[in-house]
Amino acid sequence: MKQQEPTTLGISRLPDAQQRQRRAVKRRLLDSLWYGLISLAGVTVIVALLAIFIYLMSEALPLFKPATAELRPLPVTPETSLAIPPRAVMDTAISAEVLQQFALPLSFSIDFQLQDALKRYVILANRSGEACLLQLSRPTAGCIQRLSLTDRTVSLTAITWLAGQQSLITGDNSGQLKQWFLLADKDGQVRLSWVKPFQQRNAAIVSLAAEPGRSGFAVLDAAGGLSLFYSTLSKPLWQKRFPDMAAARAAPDELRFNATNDQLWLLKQEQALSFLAVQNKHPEISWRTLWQKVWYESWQQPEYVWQSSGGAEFYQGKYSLVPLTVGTLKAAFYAMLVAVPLAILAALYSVCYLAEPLRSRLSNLIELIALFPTVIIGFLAAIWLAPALEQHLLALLLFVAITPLLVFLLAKYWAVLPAFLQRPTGSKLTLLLMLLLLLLSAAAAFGLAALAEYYFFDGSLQSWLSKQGIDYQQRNALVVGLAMGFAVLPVVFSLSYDALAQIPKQLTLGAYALGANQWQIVQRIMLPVAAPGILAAMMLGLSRAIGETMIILMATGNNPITNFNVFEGLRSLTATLAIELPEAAVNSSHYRVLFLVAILLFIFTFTCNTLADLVRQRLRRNLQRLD
Amino acid sequence: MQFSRFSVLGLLACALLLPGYVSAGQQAAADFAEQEYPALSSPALSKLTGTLSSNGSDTLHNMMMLWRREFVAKHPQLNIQIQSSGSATAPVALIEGTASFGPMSRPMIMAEQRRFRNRFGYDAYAVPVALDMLALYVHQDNPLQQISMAELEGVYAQNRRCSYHPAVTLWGDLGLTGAWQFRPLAVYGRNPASGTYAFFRQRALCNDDFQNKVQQLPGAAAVVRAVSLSVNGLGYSGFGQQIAGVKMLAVSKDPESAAILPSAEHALSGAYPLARLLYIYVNKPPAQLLPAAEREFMRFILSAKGQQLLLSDGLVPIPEELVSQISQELGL
Amino acid sequence: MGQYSAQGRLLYCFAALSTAFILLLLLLLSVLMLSRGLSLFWPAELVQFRYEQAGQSQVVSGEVVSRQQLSAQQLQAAGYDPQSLGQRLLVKQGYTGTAQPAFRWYWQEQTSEWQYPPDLSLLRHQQLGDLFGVVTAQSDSELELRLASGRHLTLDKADVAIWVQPNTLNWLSKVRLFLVQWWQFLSSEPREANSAGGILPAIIGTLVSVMLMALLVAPIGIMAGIYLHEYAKDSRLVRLVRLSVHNLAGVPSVVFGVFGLGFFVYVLGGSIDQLFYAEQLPQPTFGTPGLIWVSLTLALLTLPVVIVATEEGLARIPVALRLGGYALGATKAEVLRKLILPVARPAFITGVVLAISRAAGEVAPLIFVGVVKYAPSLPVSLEWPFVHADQQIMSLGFHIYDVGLQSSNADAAEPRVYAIALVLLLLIGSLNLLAMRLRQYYRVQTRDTTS
Repeated sequence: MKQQEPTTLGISRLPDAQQRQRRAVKRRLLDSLWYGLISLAGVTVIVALLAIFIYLMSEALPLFKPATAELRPLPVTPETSLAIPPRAVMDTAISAEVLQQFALPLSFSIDFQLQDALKRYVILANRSGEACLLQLSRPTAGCIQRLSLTDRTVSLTAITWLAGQQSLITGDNSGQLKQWFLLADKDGQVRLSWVKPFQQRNAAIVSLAAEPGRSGFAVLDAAGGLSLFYSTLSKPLWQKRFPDMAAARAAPDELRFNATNDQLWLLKQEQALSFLAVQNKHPEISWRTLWQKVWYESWQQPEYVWQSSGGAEFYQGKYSLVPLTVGTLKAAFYAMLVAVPLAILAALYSVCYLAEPLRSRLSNLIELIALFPTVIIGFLAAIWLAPALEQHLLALLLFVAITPLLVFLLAKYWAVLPAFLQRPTGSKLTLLLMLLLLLLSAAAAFGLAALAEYYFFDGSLQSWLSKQGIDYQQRNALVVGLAMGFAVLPVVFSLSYDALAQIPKQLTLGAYALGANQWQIVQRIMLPVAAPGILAAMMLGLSRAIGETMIILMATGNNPITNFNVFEGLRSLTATLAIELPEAAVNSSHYRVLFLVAILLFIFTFTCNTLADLVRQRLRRNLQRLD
Repeated sequence: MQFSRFSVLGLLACALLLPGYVSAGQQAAADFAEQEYPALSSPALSKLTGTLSSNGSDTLHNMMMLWRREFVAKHPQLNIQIQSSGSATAPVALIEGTASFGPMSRPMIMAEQRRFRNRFGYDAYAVPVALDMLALYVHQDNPLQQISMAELEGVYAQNRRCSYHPAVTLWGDLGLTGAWQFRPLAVYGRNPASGTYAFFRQRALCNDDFQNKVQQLPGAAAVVRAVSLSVNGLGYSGFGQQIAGVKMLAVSKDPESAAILPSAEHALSGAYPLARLLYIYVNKPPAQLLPAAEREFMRFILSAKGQQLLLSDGLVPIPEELVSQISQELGL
Repeated sequence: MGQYSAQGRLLYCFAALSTAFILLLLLLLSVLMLSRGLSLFWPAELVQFRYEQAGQSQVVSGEVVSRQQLSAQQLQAAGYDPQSLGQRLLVKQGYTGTAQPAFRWYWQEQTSEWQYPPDLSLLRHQQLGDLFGVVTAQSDSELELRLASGRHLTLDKADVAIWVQPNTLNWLSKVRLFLVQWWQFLSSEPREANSAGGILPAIIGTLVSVMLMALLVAPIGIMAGIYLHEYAKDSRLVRLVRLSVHNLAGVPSVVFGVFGLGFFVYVLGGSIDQLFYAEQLPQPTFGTPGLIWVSLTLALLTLPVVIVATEEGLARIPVALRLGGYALGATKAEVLRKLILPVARPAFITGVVLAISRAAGEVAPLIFVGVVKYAPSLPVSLEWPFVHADQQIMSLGFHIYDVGLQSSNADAAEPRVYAIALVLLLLIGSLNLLAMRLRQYYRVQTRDTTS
């Protein structure tokens, strides 16, 4: 008989070496395939997230690109795109008949004449720098103001309106450049007022050219120096000297911009000599205009202003980030003022005094608040809270004052309470007692407010405040603080709760064993140990408040004011993005500034969160050591 | 468990009771008078398909919705999407090509036209579609009846270059007495994207800047709503935005002339100082016709039927001569 | 427990007070939302009264919406006679056929002859809105209505969505009407500049955009989470990356919207158009805000949520499971696929559900990338490709913003906001409930596996 195959014995045969090897290769291949696939996804995500920041930067950075200009020879064959631009139309000429009506001072030779945008005033000037302001509606009054545009020792060589005809630039033969506005004085009398000098040029000013459509201008001096300025900056955006140009026989005597401000033509007696190709896309934006007070055309003094567009010709965009940043911080500050004490005290209450089933039920309940979409909270704040607050402001203030008072009283006479209310731990009854106290205090506040308004504030707190010089707006920081405080509360609560709950039991129990009382334990052990965690909670809450959009958009008037008055409105960085980004023309200065705003928000919240995270990690490590 | 049983019952009740009520209303019959909007005989036009989108003025939002409703009833294959965040969004959308209609409550400014021209080589085409009036709204309990343009400047303008009227911060500055004398003004206006903002700025402020304290609300209705909620409020918005709880003010051009309330006849005669034309901008190459669907929509808007619809939103139809001139240029 | 000092008692009182205050606020908010949201469709009593003002007399019929009591000082300041006036009523009188608006304030003191006529009807008309009057005659297709002003209107029955006489309704029929109105609200599209009609496009828009988002974010987010937890080496760089990814969750959503508009719509969409839809330019297909960009932006926004949930889920899995797998000679991929992922799956689902619930309530970033006030055509249809990714959509959150603050018919629109908010809250609440249940289920399961 033949020997039976061993396989029939029911012992599984091991695969032979070749098969085994093949399978191993396959498994290894599959393993590396998985590795590759998952790594790819992971790396893609990381790269994508990095890309967000890089993309935002790439949109905002061109704002700070310095202006450049390059001298180009004239093309030999005339091209349509390179024609001499026409002289700027600025209604500067006033007919001789009109001039004759005016009672002009004798011996006033008119070398320059300009008319303002509203065609109400005429400025006449002569080479010696003397100027006379005339009002067209009162020709017989003569000069309503006489002044010298130069330092009397030098003579006036060039004068021009900037686009929009609201600000005047003068240049003299000492190379000085000055800016003037028509401003009304205290009595409503219009005066030509000296605003600021620009950086002095090295030689006499030969020609000035205003950019059409925006408030920049170019300067040509006698030494062949060319420079580009912008009305809000005293330093030139770009300057260069062309000594041979000045030395040449055919030195240019006039500058002219084309309609899109990318060519600056040098002319001599209406004949083109050459032109400069100008790269100056965003002259109105610099760190200075974004963060410092700027004296805008027609304004009485330098201010922080955000008025991005006027929907009109010659609008000088005003992009100060100060009111927006202040607004954001103001809203966040008042929100934190509301949220932090409430949240931390509530966390303390649930960790220190409540037993388990009730404790987690309470924290779940408070975390429910996080589910309310902020658009709902914002709507309620705007439609319901703001008008109610305007009517019952005093009642709210009294409520805030009375409630702690009642609590003090309650704590003082705690012993008088019935025994079942005195039992402090894990008792729902205390919460009910406090609810009762709140309702009582609210009723008292309303009653007192009605009386107080009648007897002390002439019937209305707002009018009284207004008489004290405090403006009360209906949609104000108080409304935002309350609404956003409510929205941020669960964030602060749950993180402080975690921080307090993580404290090892043996610490507190040990302290009790040593005879410490509740106050000492909270003050000496719980708060110090959990402090980093609570700090992190506050920072995360702050970052939430800074990034919040809908509540601020709906519950404020979005007016860009720069103050911390709780009764006035505000405009935040986030709401500005929501309102203005859809309207901004792609790649315009406005669009790019809005991207800058987004970067600011990004950096601010990201830093806040990272710091909070680091603090929490450290806390966790410390607590692990304690265990 | 109890809850779920209840909800099942509720659903059951819904299912049983619904049909009797719902069946009545689903057909939006829209056979408006043929002669007011005569149909073209061309069969191609009777089956307009595709998607048109509109992006622009908030003032024209309601009108676009009304026109859209009537028009789509006629051409059910057509889909029209409407976004209204302000006039300044219209040029952006037309240039980026994201919309075929750009409703604007002001004409395009040079910079916007230039950007359009750079992209397409010709100007965007403006079709005036309605006459609008801005009204000044105060709370219904405000005893003030009228306001002058100079006073308006005093309320809104930062530098008050128009008439150098002194700044107005209290209702007493506008002549109110008693309890109102020391009440501060709560001033509301539109966001800078809106054509209403630009028009008001140009007409009442001589292109001056708004004061920082002017509250900017996104939306014409939001302004009126805010005024109705605030006793001290004053705001400007479209004539058609009136709701219960606010009152319109009569406006006088200058101290000598009488104050008048906005009305259709005063808008047409020019007596009311805050009247303006509203436009829809389209991307129409010169010497070419608009695409069929767009042309047909414009034809509907300018038809007697389309213009009559304006009245229901508080706007005024544009004069006949203007309509015929525009129709000719568009080749309607 | 330890002794209570005076300060300790004070602390206790203040802590309890804060907690009670928060709970009170939550209670107030819930009651406000529920009562306003539910009462909107509860049929109200119709009234009819005579109003006399300045010698003129008129009959008004409709629904009293709210009342306002003015103090003597307020009346005096406003120039009214405080002796004779005091309370005013906001009456919804509907379409009156005259120049009068649909909502108007009336002084209580100047009204007389209050009646609750049983034959006074409420009609909801497709074009004219709500009408209050007495039906005098009806045929098969038309009915004639006499308004309070005495004017007669002939209406096409096909245009009338609802016709009831609320004053004659018993409790059961009121419930019926209530449900019917809710159903119509949920199942029809908005009319009259979003101040009437339903919210179906907003509901569908929200649902479709978050579902599409979930499809995008789930695979990428989970894979990235697995990478960070399982494959990336624990170097300083990886820790930094992980920290950054986590903290992206705290970056304001509006910043993601800015990125979405600039990058997705203008750059990405513009390039897609140039490559694939060049024949339709300058009319863009994808280079304009639309559903796909809404979903992509939301996906980016919620990516950190999913990644964090995934990592947490993986971290909870006991090391023993892993080591056991390796001891049997399994490769890393096999351990992951066969042992770890099945156990951790509920954590992934929880992450995605949480992401969905966060996305459903977002508004700010969506303004830029494709959510509009009014887009009645649904983004899903039976025509290929079924989901129209290039279409603009409506969403519940933005609808609240629009109807609440931007509607030109504020008196009619505002009460609707509470109902819309209720729907949105219900959606988010049920999603969170689902996530919570899943998490519980998952905890139980891991306990089973480990023991």
